[in-house]
Order: sequence, then C-alpha cells, then structure tokens
Amino acid sequence: MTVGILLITHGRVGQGMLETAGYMLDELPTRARSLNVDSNRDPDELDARARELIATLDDGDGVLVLTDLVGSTPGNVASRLASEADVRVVAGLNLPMLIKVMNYATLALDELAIKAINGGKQGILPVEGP
Amino acid sequence: MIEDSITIINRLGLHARAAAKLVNTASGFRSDVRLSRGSREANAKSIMGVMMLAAAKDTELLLAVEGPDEREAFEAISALIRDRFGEDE
Repeated sequence: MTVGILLITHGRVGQGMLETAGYMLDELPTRARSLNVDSNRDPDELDARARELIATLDDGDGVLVLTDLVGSTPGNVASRLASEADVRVVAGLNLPMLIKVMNYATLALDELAIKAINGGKQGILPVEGP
Repeated sequence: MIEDSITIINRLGLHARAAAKLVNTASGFRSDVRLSRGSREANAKSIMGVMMLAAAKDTELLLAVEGPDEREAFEAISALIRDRFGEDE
C-alpha cells in the first residue's frame, strides 16, 4: 500500500516531470498521474476531473497533490482538494521534490508531504564549478 | 565497518539514473551505508544526498558500510559502480 501522487500543473509541466522521473527510476514506485491545466478550462470541470483522478490513485493510503504555483489556476484547483481528509497538497513542484517523493514512496501521507517540501528545498542551491 | 575508496568510472558519472540504482541497491541492506566526497558525506539510501555529491567520472569516493550485512552490501555496491551501473560506457 502506498500513497498515490497527483501533479496539477500548467500545461504539460507535470507530464514532463513524470516522464523524466520514470526514465530515471526505470519505473515509478507508486501510482502517479498528472492533470495538465490550461487557464481557459472551467474550474468546476477541473475540480471534478481532479477528484476522479484522486479516486483512481487512492488505494487507502491517501494522495499527495503536488502543484507548481500557488494562486495560479492549477494551484487553485489543488487548494480546493486540500480540505479532504486523505489528501495533502504541496506547492512549488520541482524535479528534486518529485525525485525525493519517489525515493520515499512507502511513507505515510503526512511524512511524505514533509519529504516533498524538504526535497524541493534541498534542490535549490548555488552551483560551484567542478 | 568496511571502508574503502572507490572511483566512479562510467562516462556520465553519478547522474540521476545511476544514483537511483545505487540508492535502490543500498536500500536493500540493513547496514548503514555512507558515501563521501572530501568533507561531504551522504547517506547512500537518500537519492538527494547522493545526487548532491555531484560525482562525475573519475571522482574518487569513500564508501563506508556498517551493520549486520555490511560485507554483502559493500560487495553489491562496489560491483554496481565497477559495472558502470549497467551503462555502456
């Protein structure tokens, strides 16, 4: 039993990240889907679609929603889901965040949300020369 | 504890795909596994830690393993690195 992962992002950002993570890890260790959001879509329709995806991804351990930007349409779609008991939402999705989440796929939902935040932050740093 | 230096020999170095394989291998053992590059030490079961070593080809790392299955763990990880993580070059 593992937490499901749902990315809610602008355009194909989430899809691209899942494909990249899938390539890196040979296969993803848990169920993951991406909801690509264009701002001209109806928010209620997006909400319904997101909830459909959550139902697919939740096998009893809940779903971690990762979104790219707070206050944007994808971020707003994600925030409507945050009041659900078995959903946690984290914003600021970057590849380090996703990789860290995949590395800890067997953790419980609350702990996994913390790993997501730490992973995202850990990946942000100035890069020195070799 | 078993500790020895080991050199990264595959062309792309310890990039994401290789790091994921190393973390996967290390995580299969109960022992504590650490990889160090100079003063920087990483838990080899943490993909972020391993990636932050930014170990390119020809980088020498220190592999330290401690625990009940340290011999098997050390061998498995060394073999993976020597085998270029299954990459062609």
